[in-house]
Amino acid sequence: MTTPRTIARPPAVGGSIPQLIFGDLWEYDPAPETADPKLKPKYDLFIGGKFVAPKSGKYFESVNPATEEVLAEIALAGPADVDAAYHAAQKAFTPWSKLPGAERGKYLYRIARLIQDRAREFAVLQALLTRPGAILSRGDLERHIYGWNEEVESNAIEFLIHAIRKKLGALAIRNVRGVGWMVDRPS
Amino acid sequence: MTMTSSGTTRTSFNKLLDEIGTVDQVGIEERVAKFQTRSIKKSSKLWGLKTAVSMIDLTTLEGKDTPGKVASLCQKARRPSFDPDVPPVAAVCIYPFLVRHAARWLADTAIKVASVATAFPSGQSPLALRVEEVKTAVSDGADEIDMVINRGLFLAGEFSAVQDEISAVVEACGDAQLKVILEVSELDTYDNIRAASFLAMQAIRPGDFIKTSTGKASGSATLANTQVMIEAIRDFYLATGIAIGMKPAGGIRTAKQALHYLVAVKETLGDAWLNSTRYRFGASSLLNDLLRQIEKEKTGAYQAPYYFTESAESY
Repeated sequence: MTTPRTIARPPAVGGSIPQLIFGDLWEYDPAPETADPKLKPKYDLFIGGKFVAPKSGKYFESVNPATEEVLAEIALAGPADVDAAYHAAQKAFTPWSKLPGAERGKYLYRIARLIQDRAREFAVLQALLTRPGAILSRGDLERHIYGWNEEVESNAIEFLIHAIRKKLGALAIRNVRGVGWMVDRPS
Repeated sequence: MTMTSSGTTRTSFNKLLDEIGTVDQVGIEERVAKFQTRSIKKSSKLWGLKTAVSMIDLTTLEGKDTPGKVASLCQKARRPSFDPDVPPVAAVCIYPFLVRHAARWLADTAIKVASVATAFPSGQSPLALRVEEVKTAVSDGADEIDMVINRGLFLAGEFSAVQDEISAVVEACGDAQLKVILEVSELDTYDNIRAASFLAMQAIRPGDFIKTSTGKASGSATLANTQVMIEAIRDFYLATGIAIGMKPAGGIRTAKQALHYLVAVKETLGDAWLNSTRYRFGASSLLNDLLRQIEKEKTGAYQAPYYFTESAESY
């Protein structure tokens, strides 16, 4: 930080060159940037309420573009699998359509409530994901998720970003210090 | 001040700064802002907190200080907490009048008795009186003397006079360790702080300290002005091999601040300065916050402040 100059002083005591020791007397704690995303090695197809292996037996690899490392294997659905999904849906539709409206409403409201609880998280994620590579400031995000005249809490956006990162891993959304947040453009 | 003498002032400053280098203000402030981002948690935090306790010069410098107050301060210095894991502090810092009492309470310990002297906090009395004050404090049992420089002389560019005064005090100290207070808030610029640091370091002995503030002026220690001083210590050490200690004082009240100061030491001066023989905190209320945080690290819960004995609220 200071302009390096030579200081006019007698030579060092004992002739040895004084040195500073930057050792391990006091180590900082690790500050990991990423949380473990808890990926499974293999993902199957979700048909008829449960995960099933694809009829073709084929899987494709999902690769991390940054490191070219295989993240997981994902089932590759063929025509037979699509048919199975279609038939499962057909089979479920008959009892579902016979349910009275009020009973069907219970299911739909339950799902809606689950989404509503996370509505602002979804809104933040949507705002970022639909503009990959663009930096959105706190003001931009507030405009997306709050209506006219709604009260905005001072740390609301930080809290939502934190909640999203907890689910998707810390690298899902990138901080651009002093500017805002962004999702990287897919490579 | 006449034209000629202000011209002389500028010349003497320019000459010294030419020799020791100037300070990059923006750079220093950016650097210290970064010190506040280090990951200090769990065991690394506990180590930092305990080390900070062992570096404290537990201080009371009030007009209303009494032998009784000094006695309770000394008890606290010996055993800051019920927890046997917490080390005693480095020293107790008081006015010369009370040195005798403190020396009696700390006689059987390694805790040092530090006394401010030399017409603290202004330093504006005749040199002979200031030297006499130092001698009296030392003969009363002070292990360390905290002197103030005469800022008026420094700002007028009378550098050799400033150094002569420091040398006179060094001589009066005898075996006692010396800490030279620059009172950075009265020096106005970082360049001046660096200049004053070098003047002091050239006059004192290896193992003596330079110190930021009296705690009695408007401003006190900040990370930035402390950084200017420890970089001066570093440059002086690399040029001469003489290791000088550092004591920031005034305004350091929380454990978090103390950890930031230690980060600055670790990353500027290295491990050799991370102990109480080369680094001290001049503080009083800081100790209680450190004890609170140590308790929190160990039990996971914060205790109310009134569970920790009060020392002195001011300073």
